[in-house]
Amino acid sequence: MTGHLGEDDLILLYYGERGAPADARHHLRECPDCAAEFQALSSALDRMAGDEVHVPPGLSSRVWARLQPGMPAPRIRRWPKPLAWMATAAAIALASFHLGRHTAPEPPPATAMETRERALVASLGHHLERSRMVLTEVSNAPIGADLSNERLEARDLLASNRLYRQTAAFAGRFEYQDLLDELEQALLEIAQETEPLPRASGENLMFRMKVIESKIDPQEGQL
Amino acid sequence: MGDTDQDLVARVRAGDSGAFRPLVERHAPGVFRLACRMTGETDAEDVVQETLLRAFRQLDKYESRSSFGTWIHRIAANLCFDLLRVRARRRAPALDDVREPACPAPRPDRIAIATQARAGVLEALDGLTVRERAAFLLRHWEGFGIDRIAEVLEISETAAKNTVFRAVRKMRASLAGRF
Repeated sequence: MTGHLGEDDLILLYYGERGAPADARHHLRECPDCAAEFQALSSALDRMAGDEVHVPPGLSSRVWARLQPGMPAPRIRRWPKPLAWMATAAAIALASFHLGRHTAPEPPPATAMETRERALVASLGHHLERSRMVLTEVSNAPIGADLSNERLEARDLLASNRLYRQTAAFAGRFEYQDLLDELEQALLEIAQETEPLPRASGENLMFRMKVIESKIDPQEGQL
Repeated sequence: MGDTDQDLVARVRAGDSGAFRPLVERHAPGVFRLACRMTGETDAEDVVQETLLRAFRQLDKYESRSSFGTWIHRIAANLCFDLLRVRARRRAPALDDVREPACPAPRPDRIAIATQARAGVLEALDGLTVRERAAFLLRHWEGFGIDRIAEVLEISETAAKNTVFRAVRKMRASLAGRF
């Protein structure tokens, strides 16, 4: 090679990265100036390497302990598509019907309104959590990030959101209806690739969703 | 020999959430070091927690063409950038101009044990932009290659290389009088 190695070449050599001239190592052995420069660079970087961050003891255990109790199943398992929910609901209804025919009557059956409301509350938690995840991802995505998956998810959520909103209105649960109205607008913005909702209002919406979620007992389907 | 990251990811995806624990044990320390140097010690453990929670929840988005460790670090780096962006909003400069104190924070006990060289390194790190700092610490302390740094920072390899070059030059210039 002709001339000396540049600082960038020496940095690549120090870190063992590709991209330095093919005969750079040979040149270092032959050229005292470059060898001295490489020595100075190596010495400076070697000294910096001594600055260690001490990982606090028990970090992994603490992180795992906090993760585990509320650990949601991964999205692919936890968030079945609406069709799967409908199939599950139909199976439960069928089973309930058969059980009802073969067992003594228990307390009076819930009215259609009560059943509808319980069904709403029982599945609303999943819907809100899934929606909150999409909003979080969109609001945290770096500028120019590919949001095609989030847009698909938002479109998927829109259809369910409308059903939930109508059910909430029918059941007279206006606090849900208002929230779902607002959520629908946010999902629409994401799905239609318009400007995302302003951060402040997005955070407010997510906070309200979290509050509603926290009030829902998934086991009981009741507030 | 233990399961690879890919094996564990497959098990978690199949519904065995307990298989996520070894992934936490393997990657929490590296994410902590990144977060600590990026955002400071106070928030580092929260960043680790949030990173791993997001990783678990978004596991269906993970594509095995990059390593799980690289993917985890990308989530962590984005969280760090978000955190620094929020902190910097008061000053409102562009992200590449943002400078935050490097970890560890200068607590009295740390100051007492810090060597002069170490203090110099921390000061020099403070002079880097957040992207330069991320690129430099991934290359220098975590041993990431340029290709992985590019994946973590979601930039081209050329941009990653140039970011490392700038960081090294700034670090050397800052430490010239000390080393």
